[in-house]
Amino acid sequence: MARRDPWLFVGLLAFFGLVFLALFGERIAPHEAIYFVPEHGSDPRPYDPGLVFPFGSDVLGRDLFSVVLAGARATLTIVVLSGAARVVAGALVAAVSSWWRPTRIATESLAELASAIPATLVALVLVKVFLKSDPSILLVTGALLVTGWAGPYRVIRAEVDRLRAMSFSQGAVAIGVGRWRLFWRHHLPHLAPVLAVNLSQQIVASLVLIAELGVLSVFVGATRFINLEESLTRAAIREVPFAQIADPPEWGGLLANARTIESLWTTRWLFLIPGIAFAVTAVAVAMIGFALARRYARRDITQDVRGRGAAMLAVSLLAIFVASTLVPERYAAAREWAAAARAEVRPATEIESTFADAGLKPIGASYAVQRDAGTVAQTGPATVKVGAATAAQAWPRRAPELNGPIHVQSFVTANTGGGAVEAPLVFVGRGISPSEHPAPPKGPAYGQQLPELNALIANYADDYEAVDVRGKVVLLVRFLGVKARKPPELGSNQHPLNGSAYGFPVEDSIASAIKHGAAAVIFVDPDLTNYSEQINNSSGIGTAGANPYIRFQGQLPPATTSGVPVVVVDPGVASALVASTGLDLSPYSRYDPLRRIWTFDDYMGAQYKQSPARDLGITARVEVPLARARALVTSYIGEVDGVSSDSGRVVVWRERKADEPTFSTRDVLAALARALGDRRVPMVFVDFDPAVDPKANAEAIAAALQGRRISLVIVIDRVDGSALRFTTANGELVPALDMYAEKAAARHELTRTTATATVVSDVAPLLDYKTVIVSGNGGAGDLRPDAAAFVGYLAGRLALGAEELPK
Amino acid sequence: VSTTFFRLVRIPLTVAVVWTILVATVPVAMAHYGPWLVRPGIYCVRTSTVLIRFDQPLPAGMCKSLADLYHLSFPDLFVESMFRSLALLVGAAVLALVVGTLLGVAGALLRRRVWASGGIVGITTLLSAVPAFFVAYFLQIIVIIVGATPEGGKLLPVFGFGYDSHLVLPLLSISVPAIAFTAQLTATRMQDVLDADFITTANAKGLRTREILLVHVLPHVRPVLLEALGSGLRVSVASLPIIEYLFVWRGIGQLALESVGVHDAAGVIFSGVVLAGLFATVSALADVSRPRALYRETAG
Repeated sequence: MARRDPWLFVGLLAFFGLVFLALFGERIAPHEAIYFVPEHGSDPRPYDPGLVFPFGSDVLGRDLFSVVLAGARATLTIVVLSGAARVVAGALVAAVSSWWRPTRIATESLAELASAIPATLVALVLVKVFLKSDPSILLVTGALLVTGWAGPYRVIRAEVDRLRAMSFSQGAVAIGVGRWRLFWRHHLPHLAPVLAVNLSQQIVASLVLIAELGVLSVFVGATRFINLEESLTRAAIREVPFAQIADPPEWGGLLANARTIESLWTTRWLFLIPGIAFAVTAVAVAMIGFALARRYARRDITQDVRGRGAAMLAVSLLAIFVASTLVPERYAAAREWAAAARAEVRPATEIESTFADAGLKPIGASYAVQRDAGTVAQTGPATVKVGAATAAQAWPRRAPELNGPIHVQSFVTANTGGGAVEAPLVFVGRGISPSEHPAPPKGPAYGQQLPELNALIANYADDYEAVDVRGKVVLLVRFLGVKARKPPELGSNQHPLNGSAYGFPVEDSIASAIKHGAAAVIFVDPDLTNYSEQINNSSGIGTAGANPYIRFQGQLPPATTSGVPVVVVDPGVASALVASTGLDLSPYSRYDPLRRIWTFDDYMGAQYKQSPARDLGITARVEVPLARARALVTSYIGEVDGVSSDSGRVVVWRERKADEPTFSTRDVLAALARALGDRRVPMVFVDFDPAVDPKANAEAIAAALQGRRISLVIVIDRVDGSALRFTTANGELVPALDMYAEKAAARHELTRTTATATVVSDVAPLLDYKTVIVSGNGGAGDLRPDAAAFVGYLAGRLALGAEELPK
Repeated sequence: VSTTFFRLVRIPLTVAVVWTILVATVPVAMAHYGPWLVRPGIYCVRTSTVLIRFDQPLPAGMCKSLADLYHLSFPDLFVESMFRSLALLVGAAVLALVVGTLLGVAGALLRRRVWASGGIVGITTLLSAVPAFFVAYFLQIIVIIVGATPEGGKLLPVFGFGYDSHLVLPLLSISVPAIAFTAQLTATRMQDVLDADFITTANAKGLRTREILLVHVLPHVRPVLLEALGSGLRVSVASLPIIEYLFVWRGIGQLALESVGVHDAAGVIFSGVVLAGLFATVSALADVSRPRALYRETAG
């Protein structure tokens, strides 16, 4: 028997090794790629090898070794496909140019061009331009093909030319062998070694390109932005809490987070682990090519194709493929949970009885959690009447998108109040009382020191000394500030208010008037028109920005319907109101059109030595109608029975709507309660009543749940649309959510980014817990079964002890 | 002569066509993608409050070109970078010719000794299979591990530009494929020649090995050397961007990548044309020296 070539065995070993890695890599990995360890005591991320995982973690705390194994399939598929595509394309072009001579110049020039620009550059631009959303494997293969076909083309064309010139070819042509037969019978066996080596070279070249693109932060596959910040209990300055990762995991993406020069010094495993995977694969592929080339250098490939060895190879490949489909996935049983939850979806009416039927345990005496929700709210527009002139607030309050300038606004807080007051009107200027503003405590001094406000107004006359405001309606102009030095030249790049001292906060001015005994206050604010009804509006002009009145009302809501009514008006409205008294308000709110600001007082208040305060001799009426609303809100909480008391609970939360849509979240909650009620999984179901004051209602539920450890809150927001969308600020949950939906066969959008904490807390009822918001998006489909299956799958994994779910 | 002439004419022709294609496509392509950070800190933000959204074009206030970023004029930046890259390539060519040829000759002479020739074949295969940028990382790590002293000193600079010790690591990384190619092709060609009948005859006549090598073998190997060098340098040019990027060499390759990142169309076009010119030149070098037999039909 002839001696076997040892290289053949090496090649076969490498081949089966790679096939095994691609098919089973994800399954044999110690952890899943969705498993993050955001914190591990006080150890810094990425964790050193051996600390949490034997081969260290990536910057986000995933097991690097597991991610490399899980990424093998995507990476190997891409490189093998693009390697093969390059060789096939090269061979096709070579065949065309070889058989049809006139095309030779064209193909030669094309090949020259295609190889003239570095492939990295071309692939970089192509992937960025065309594949920015979700580059599928085929598209990436295309991008890698564009410049890659020229190499194989040159080699194959040269080899075909050489073969055609050889005497055996000429002999075959002479006895009338056709082109196809000449190729299959005589040329292909000679081309086999060239093709084998070329294929392996092109696969390696694709691998290198993928790695290079990875180093340049261009991933193949969807890019996800993961931010762990919200899941950390401590802030570490040197750690990076966010990174972009590829999904499905792919080796190039791992290099992206390992590219910094400092990682060469301190966190080398970040590069070494995926780097070794690249290198080993490249060497394995090269060995396969080398072994094939050696075997067919002096042997006809067609013999082997028909032989027993080829059949054995095919059978063993098939066996591996079959085996890979038979090995169950991790937590395979959770799919059954998803199916069970999906099957239970049907229109539900009564949540309380559903909870009882499902065998859920109430948290307290009954499922209902009730709260008396009485609030004080404004019931109509605030109005001001001075003599015959009137002004009224726009009512109802406009929606934020209709925001135009505000001219009249009520100011209702616990310190002010409502009701109607009719009394004589007194003007107190800007309500400045220098003695009430002592020097502030000295802080650390930075840079140039400017005079404090108290020093600048020390010489001002006291506005409250001149008139008695007790029991009267006080007209007060906002004190904007004092220039602390000469203003900058027009056209200079300094801010016009640079080096000025701002006046009192508006709430302090008003509080001062009330303290002096005012029965009602008309407050003139030149900046009022710059504010909107929103709190977070920043127009950036002068002192404008967040609406201080609305902000203050939110911080100190009124407790009673009485008190001192306060109405804020802009200078235009105020002037119209007091026109009959002859009072000129313009000195207190001068607008500088050149600098586009309301002017401040000149340095040291030279013009304000005498207070303008006086009784205006006219009666004014100020009204802010308030009423107390009474309501009893009832939410329902049910808990799965038979769960150990110390296990972390997953709270499934849905909010009741005034008129439930056709595809209601209530049906999802009911389905989940029925499906999971007797499965002993630590879950709590909440049917939330948001009436009157959602925040206070949620606090009542949080109080009811006290004593139970809550590990995750799933808010089912909406279930109509064409796909579910997941929103969370806890980055480590992002890949897991998509995977759950995938396995539960729930239609969903890929979650690309970690949401900011603000976005989540706008919807999230319970703060300080990891929260996921599930909402339907796009179209008007029925997503109830999908949402139920998603939560059902999650519950299944939770029950089976999946490591990524908080215990 | 005429074939050689046409092959040489192809260089400016390729450059012209690449220039035309890039001018037509790059600005359009750049309008289609959002910014992303090729290197941490590469975005040159003029105002500290600009938020970079990765799915949208560059916000206003960011510098529009690499010249802005490096505070150099376009010619100063790109012409100097071109010479920095050329220095690497010329160095790689010299290394490939010297080390590659020696390795190849050794491999061919030792062809009967399985372990020695296998070792040379294995090492050159490994070197041509391992990505150049991995070699770069590897060299950097080795230099850091071996050379780091408690005083914070190091053996060689692991990044940065300079025509001194800074040159060592980038040069080694970029010349690895060229060395491997030259060694492999030299060895293969020389083995063929050594197995040829006329060498057997020469041996039978009792000629000295030295004479056989110098008179009968090397003249046959010489044309292949240039071809190998051309093919090897082609790989070097292809890996120029990533190697320069990793070593912060700021050659034309690194600028090409960075200008893609900051949407500098002129930068991409210029560096693309320079790289294409280099490519076309080394390709022509490989083609011109390729044995005529391959072109018998075309030439005829």
